[in-house]
Amino acid sequence: MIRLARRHTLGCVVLLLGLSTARATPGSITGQVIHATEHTAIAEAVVWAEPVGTMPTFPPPAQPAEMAQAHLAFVPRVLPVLVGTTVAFPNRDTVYHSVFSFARNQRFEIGLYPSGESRSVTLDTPGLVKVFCNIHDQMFGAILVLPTPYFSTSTAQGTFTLPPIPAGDYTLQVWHERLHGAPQPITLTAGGTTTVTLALQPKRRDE
Amino acid sequence: MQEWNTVGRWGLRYKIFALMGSLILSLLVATLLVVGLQVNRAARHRVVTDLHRTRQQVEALQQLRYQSLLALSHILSREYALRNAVSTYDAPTIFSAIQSFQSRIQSDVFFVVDDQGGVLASIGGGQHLDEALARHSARQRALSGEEALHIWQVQRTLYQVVTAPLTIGPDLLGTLGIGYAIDQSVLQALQTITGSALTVLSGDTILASTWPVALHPALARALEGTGWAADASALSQVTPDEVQTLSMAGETYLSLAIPLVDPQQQPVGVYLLQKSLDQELAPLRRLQRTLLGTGVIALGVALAVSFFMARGVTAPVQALVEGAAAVGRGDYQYRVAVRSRDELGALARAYNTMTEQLAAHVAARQAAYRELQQQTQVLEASLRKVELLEQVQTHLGKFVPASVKRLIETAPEAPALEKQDRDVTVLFLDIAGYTRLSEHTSRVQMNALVERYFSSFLDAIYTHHGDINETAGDGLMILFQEDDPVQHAINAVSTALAIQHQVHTLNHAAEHTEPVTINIGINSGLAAVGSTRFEGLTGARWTYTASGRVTNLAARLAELATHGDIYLGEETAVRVKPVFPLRELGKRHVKNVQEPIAVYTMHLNHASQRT
Repeated sequence: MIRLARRHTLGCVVLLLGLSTARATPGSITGQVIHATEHTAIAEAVVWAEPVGTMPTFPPPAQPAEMAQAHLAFVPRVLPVLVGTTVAFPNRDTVYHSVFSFARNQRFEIGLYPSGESRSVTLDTPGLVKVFCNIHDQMFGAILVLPTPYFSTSTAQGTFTLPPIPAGDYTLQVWHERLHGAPQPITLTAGGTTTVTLALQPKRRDE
Repeated sequence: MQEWNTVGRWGLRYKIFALMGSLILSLLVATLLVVGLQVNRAARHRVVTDLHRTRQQVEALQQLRYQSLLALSHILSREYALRNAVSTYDAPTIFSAIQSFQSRIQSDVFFVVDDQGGVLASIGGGQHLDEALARHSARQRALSGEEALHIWQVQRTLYQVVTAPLTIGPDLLGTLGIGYAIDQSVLQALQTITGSALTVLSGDTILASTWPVALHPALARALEGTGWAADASALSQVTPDEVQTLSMAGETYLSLAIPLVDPQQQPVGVYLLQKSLDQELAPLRRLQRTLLGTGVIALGVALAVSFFMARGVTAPVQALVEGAAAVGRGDYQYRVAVRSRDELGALARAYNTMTEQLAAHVAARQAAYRELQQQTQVLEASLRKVELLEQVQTHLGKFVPASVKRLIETAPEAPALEKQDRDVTVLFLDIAGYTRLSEHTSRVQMNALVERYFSSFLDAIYTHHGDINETAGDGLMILFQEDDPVQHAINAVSTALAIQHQVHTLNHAAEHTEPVTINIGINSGLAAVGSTRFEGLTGARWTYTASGRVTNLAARLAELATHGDIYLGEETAVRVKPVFPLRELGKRHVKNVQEPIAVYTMHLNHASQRT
């Protein structure tokens, strides 16, 4: 989280501005995540907007988020959730699975459970929670616990659309399993649509 | 002359040529043979060494794989997640779990058996592995809590397998099995390292091989009769160090078999290691070819050199031959032109010297020969003279009295022909009634008669060393000379007796004619004996005779004698009286002698005459 905060103050800006409207009217942010050097579309990148200034408190959703187990994999592999969200891990596979996280902020371990059953965990600390299966090495899931509900995951085409966001100043951030993108300040006008292209670069070793 | 100096087709030149050629050739062949032998031995040795090294590596790898499997089984048998998965006893879960383990340890087989022996999950080997597991007794040993090493054949693959108990605390969860296949990839890896071809055999089945499948039938054929493609029970007889030579697809391979025994010492197959002898020999064959090439070049060079060398030898020899031919023709001025300083040069110089000396010798001999010829001519002329003389002697001898011959032979240069007084006995004989006979006998018949009778006397005369000195138509004068005066007198008397005997015999033999009567007179004493010379202007005529009173008296005595009597003079009678019986006839007068002389006659003469 320290890193995220620092990034908030950095970055260069490439943005198209919409018209400034009343705060009550939400704006929208869409865009595409691409590889900075290969210019290919990047899927499974999480893009979210953090309000600049005081962070409002958002109530967690009543419905749990879901990361299923199927075909010896977590589906979806990347899951952004609002802090305090309960994540369910339904076993839709033919074999037993377990789920565990060794994340510092969110350690948990759910033992093996058979197909058809489900286990849940409430994630109340922001941060990245990597989940694994005890008996299946290849299984990997990334749950990004975020302080805001304005997030989205890039599609196979690298496109994303954030949910409607009230006008204001935001920092647009991006996370990817292997790539790195700089946070961007963004000012959202009421009813306006901001289109952003996020170019990601391979992570440096110290990151 | 053309025959001996003509050199045949196998002349010295060709002999040297052939000698050098065969020498180099034999050297080359010997080198190639020795090199070939050594090369073969070296290659064989290297291949065998390589095979043994391969064998060590195969065994080491096998050992290493067991160790690695054991180590892995140690870890896995206590692995939380694995135990966790197995503890579900859910086959798909266990299968999905061991898949990740298997992918991590890269084993070829991975299986988990429950505590009842039922297969929970298996990877690699499929259903056949499950079936193999179901019937394999080794499983039971793992179940009893021991780690165990195995070599299992599943379908057409051999596996090195380690089984280990999977426990939770004191509880046995099941059995874990992991294994590596002894398959083509391993063999190929080994081949890359060792350079040897590897094959895994079980009985006559080729389980895995680095050989392409197309070569497998050839391999199977090659293996027939080796004892390696036998069933498991016979494999314990395989000697690990026995290298056999196998031929496959036209290539020769040295082969070594390692019995593949499982850790329980049960033979399950054979590792067949093969290495091509031909390939190993290839660089050496190239060396041989290079050697052959250089050898052929050396042979060519040597032949060329020997050709020139041979010419260097034969040209002087040919020159010498021509020189010899020249000498043969008689040309001593010919000189052999050889300048070389070697033995042939020395020979040529010696030859030239010899020719010079020969020329001198021949010249000397020719001179000597000419002289000899001249001498021979002289000699021949002399010989002809001698022959003439011989002929003259032969013819004249008949005319020359024997005493003259003796005198001449004794002293040819100066024969003592001068008259000398010598003691002699002279015998005269007359044919009685010669004149009367001549009247009624033809001259030819008369001559023949005289010759017949006189010839018959000749032997008697010569026997007693008489010398017919003179012949008249009807008489003979015979001279007897000896050193002993008595002896020639006896000789004369003996001759006279022999003559009378001959006359008697001849008269008897010729009865139809009138008997011939020979009267003989003998006298001895000193007489002038020698040549009587009549010298004229045109030549000389010498007569050798005895003259004097003794001779005259002898002649008169012969005239005096009648009826074939032998009358002796006194001197003779005195000398022969001791030998012959004599009768004294008293003194008689003879012609031209004044005093009467004593006459004697042979006692028996009359007796023989009258009978």
